[in-house]
Amino acid sequence: MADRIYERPAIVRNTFGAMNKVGRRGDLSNHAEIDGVSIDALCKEFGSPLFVFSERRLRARVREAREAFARRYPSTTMCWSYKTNYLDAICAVMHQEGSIAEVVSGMEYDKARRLGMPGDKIVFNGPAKTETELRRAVAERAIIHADHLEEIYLLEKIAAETGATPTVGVRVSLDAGIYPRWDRFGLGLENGQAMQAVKRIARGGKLALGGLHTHIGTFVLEPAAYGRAAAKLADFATEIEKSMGVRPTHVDLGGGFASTNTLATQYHAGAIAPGIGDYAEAITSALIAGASGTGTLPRLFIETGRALIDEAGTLLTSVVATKRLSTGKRAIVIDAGVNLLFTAWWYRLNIAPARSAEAFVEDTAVYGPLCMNIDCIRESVPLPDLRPGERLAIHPVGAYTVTQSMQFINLRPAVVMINEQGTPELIRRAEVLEDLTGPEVLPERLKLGATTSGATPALKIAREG
Amino acid sequence: MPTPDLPYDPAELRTLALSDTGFIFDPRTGHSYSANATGLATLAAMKDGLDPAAIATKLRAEFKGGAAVEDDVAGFVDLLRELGLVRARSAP
Amino acid sequence: MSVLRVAVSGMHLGENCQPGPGVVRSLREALGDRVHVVGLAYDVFDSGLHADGLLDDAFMVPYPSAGPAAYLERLSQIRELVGLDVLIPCLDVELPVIQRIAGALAERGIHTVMPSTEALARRTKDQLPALAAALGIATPRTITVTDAAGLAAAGAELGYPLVVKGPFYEAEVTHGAAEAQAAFGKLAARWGLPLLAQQFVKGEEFDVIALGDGQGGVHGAVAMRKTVITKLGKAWGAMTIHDDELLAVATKVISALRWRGGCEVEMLRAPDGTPYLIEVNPRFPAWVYLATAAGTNLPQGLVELALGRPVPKYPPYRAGVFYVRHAVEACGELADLESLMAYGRTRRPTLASLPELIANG
Repeated sequence: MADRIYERPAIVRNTFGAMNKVGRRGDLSNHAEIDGVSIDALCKEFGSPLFVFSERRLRARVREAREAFARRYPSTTMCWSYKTNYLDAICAVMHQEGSIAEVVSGMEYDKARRLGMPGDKIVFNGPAKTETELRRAVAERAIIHADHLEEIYLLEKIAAETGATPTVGVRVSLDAGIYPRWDRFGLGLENGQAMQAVKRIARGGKLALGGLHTHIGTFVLEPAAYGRAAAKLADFATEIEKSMGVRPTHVDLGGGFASTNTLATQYHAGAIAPGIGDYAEAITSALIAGASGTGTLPRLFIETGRALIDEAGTLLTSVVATKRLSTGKRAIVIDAGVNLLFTAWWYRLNIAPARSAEAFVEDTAVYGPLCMNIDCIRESVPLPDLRPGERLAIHPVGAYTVTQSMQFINLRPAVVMINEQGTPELIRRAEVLEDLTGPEVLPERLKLGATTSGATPALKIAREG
Repeated sequence: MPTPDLPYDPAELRTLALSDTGFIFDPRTGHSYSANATGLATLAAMKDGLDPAAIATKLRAEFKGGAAVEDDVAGFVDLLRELGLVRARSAP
Repeated sequence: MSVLRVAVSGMHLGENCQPGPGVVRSLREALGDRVHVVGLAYDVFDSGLHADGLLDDAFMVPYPSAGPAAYLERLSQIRELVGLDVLIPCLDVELPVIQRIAGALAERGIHTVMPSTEALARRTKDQLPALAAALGIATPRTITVTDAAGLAAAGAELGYPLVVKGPFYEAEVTHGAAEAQAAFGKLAARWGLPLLAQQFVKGEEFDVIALGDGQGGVHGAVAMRKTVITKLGKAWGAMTIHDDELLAVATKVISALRWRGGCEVEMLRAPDGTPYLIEVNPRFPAWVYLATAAGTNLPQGLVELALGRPVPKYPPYRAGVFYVRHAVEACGELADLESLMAYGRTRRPTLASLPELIANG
C-alpha cells in the first residue's frame, strides 16, 4: 500500500492567467550529476556549498569559439578575460587552449605572469593603470590599450626615461546602436577624441601605434551590434592609415557576448541567446567588408569571457530548512548565499533539484544562509517539496561568481574541476578562518585580558564598583 | 457529525469537489485548486471528519517516508485557512 | 485524401485579440475536414479552447520563456499523440524560440515557415527606424529607453503625447511625464527592458497583411483601413481597400527583408498624406480572416509554403469587405478545465469527470 513517496501535503489556488501546469516545466530538469559525477558524492567529498567546473564543457566551448573565428577569418587571437574567472586552473586551461591573457589591473597582470604568461602575451586593459604597473608592462612588452590621454602622457614619460619605444593601442568608445551605450571607457570615436589620441601616439615620437580596442557592453544579445562596431573600427583603421601612413597592429572587439544565462529583465530564457558563430559572423564579415579598401585584414583580438565559461560552472548547495511565509508562499533556506552569487542580482539563475522533480511543484522563494534580508537567490522558482539536506544545482554560474565572491558572514567554499576523464580535482580548497584573519592586525592593547589601561571607562567603573 | 474539538469544521469542506487528478473545485467561490497526492488525501480525510492525529496515521499508512507528519498536517490546515477554505474556529 | 494536421497557437480572443482563431477559420474554409487543427494554449482560459467547433484538439504548451528545449519536448510529445505536419506560431514571443528549434521540428516532420533571424532582427521596434531610413520610408522618431531618466529625456525631446511601447506587445499613448512613467513601470514589469519612446504622429491607421516568399517576393497582400479602434489601440473593425501606395510601401519592406511567411505591416497616413511605417509584425494579425473573406486566404498559402508546395496565385482581392469584431461567450464545463489543468489537453471521453463528483456530492 505504502508505495507512494510521502511529500508534505500542499495545495495552491489556480490563478487566472497562470493556469498552465506545463507552463514552466522548462525549469525542472534535474541535475543528478555533472559529467557523470554524482552531485551528492561531490558534496560529501568536498563539502556544501561547492563550486564545480566542467573541464570538458569549458574546453569544448573554447574550441567552438576558436573554430567559429578560424573558419571565417585568417588571424584571430583569443584573449582570456581574467576578471571573468581568474582561478589558476581555469586560466591554465584557457592558456593551454591557446588563449593569451587579458588583464585589467596590476593584480591580474601579476597573476598571469605567475602562471607563466610572457608579457607580450598579456593584453593590458583597464581605466586606472598605475605608473608602476605600466613600467613593468612596458619593460615586458605587454599589449597595452590606453584608456585616456593621461595614460598616453604617462607612457611617453616612461619611454623618455627608459629609452624604450612602447607600442600603445587605444581603447575606443563608439556607438554600436545598443543601449546602454558604454561611454566611460576609452576615447570617443564619433567626437574625434580617439583620433586625437592616435595622432598623439603616432606623431609624439616616443610611442609606436598598437591596436584599436573597443568593448561595447555586456551580455549584448544582438550580434549585429558587433558588426557595426567592427565596421567602425575597420573604417577608423583605414582613416588612420590614409592620413598618417601607419597601420594599427590589430583590432580588438573586446567581449560582452551573451551566455545562456537569463537576465532578470529578459522575457525569453537565455537559451535563445545567439551562438558564438553568430557573433563571429557579424564581426568577421564587417572586417572583411571594411578592409576591401586597403586589401589587408588586421589581426583580430577577441576577449569574450562569460560566453566561454558561464555554462561550465555550477554551484552545488544543500537545503537547510523549509518554511511557509506569512502569505502562504513556500520558501527554502539553502547554504549558499549572495556572497557567492553576485550574479543573482542581475540574472534569473536556474535552480534545479538533484533528484528528478515530482509532478507537483510550487512557486518557492529561495533564500541564502546570510542573516541579511537581501540574501535572496530567487524570489520565485517552481520547485518540488524539498527536504533538509537535499542537493540543488544552481546554473550557470561559471562567470564572475568566483571572482566576485567574498567572505561575508561565511567563508568561501571549495572549487573543484571535473577533468576530462571524469575525475573531480580540487582547484581551490575551502577557506579556513586563517584566510580571513591572516591579514588582520589586532593592537596589543585591544586583546582580551590586556592591562586595564586599555579598558573602557565603563569597564573601569564596573571593576571599581 | 461535527466534532467540536476538531481544528476545522468538516461541514465547510462538504461542498468541495475533489478529483483524483488533484484538481479541486470550490462551488461556493468558483475558485479551483491543485493539490499534491498527500494534500488530496488530507482534504478527503478532513471531509470525512478525521482528526489531525488520525489523518497523520492514514498518511503514514498510504505513503512512505513521512517524518514529522503531524506538523505537516497542522501546517496544511493553516494553509487551508490562509486560502479561505476553512475558517478559524473559536475555542469551545 | 489524407488529413493535414496543423498546430496553431495564439488562441485567445480577449481585450488583445490573438491571430490563432482567424488562422484556423481560414484553414477550415480552404480545407474543410481535410485539416485537423490542434490548438496550442498557454492558459486554460484561452478563449479559442472553448469556442464551438473551432479546434479538433488542444494542448497546453510551455511559456516561450521556458526556452527552446522545453518547447521542443512538448511539441514532440504532441506529435507522438496526434501527429503534426505543420506548425503555425501566431505570437511574437514564440518566434525566437521556434526559430531555434525549426530544424529539429523539421526532422520530426513538423514544418514551419519562418523568417530569417536577420529579417526578424531588422524589424524589431528598436531597429525599425534604421530600416525605414534605409528604404526612404517615413517613420516616427523612436528612442530606446532603459530607465526613468531616459524616458524623461525622450519625453523632453519628442514631446507629448508620447507613445511608450513594449519590446514585443502593447503601447500606450501618454500625455505627460507622470503618465509616461506609469506606463513605463507597467510595461517594463510585464515585458522587460528596454522599452521604446516614440513620437506621436496623428493620422488614419492602415494595415497590410502579406505572405512573403523569402526571396523578396510577395505571394499575396491585402490592405485595410481601421474603422473601429479600441482604447488599447487595436482594430475592432476594418475595411479592405485598394491603395497602391500603401501596398507598395509594405511590399518594399517585405522585399528588403526577404520576408518568409506571414506578416503585418502597420502604417499611418499623416494629414499631409505621407505614409509612416509604424511596425512590422512577424506573423499574421488577428484580423487575418478579413483577407480570407476578401478572397485572399493567406494561411492556406502558408501551409503550402510550409510543405514545400507551390503557392497558388491569388486573384485580386475585393475592396469594401469589412469586419466588425463580434465577441461571444465561449462556455465550458468544469471537466474541461480539469482536463486542461491535470492532463494539459482538452477533454477526451476517457478522462475523469469532475461534474459527476459534484452532482453526486
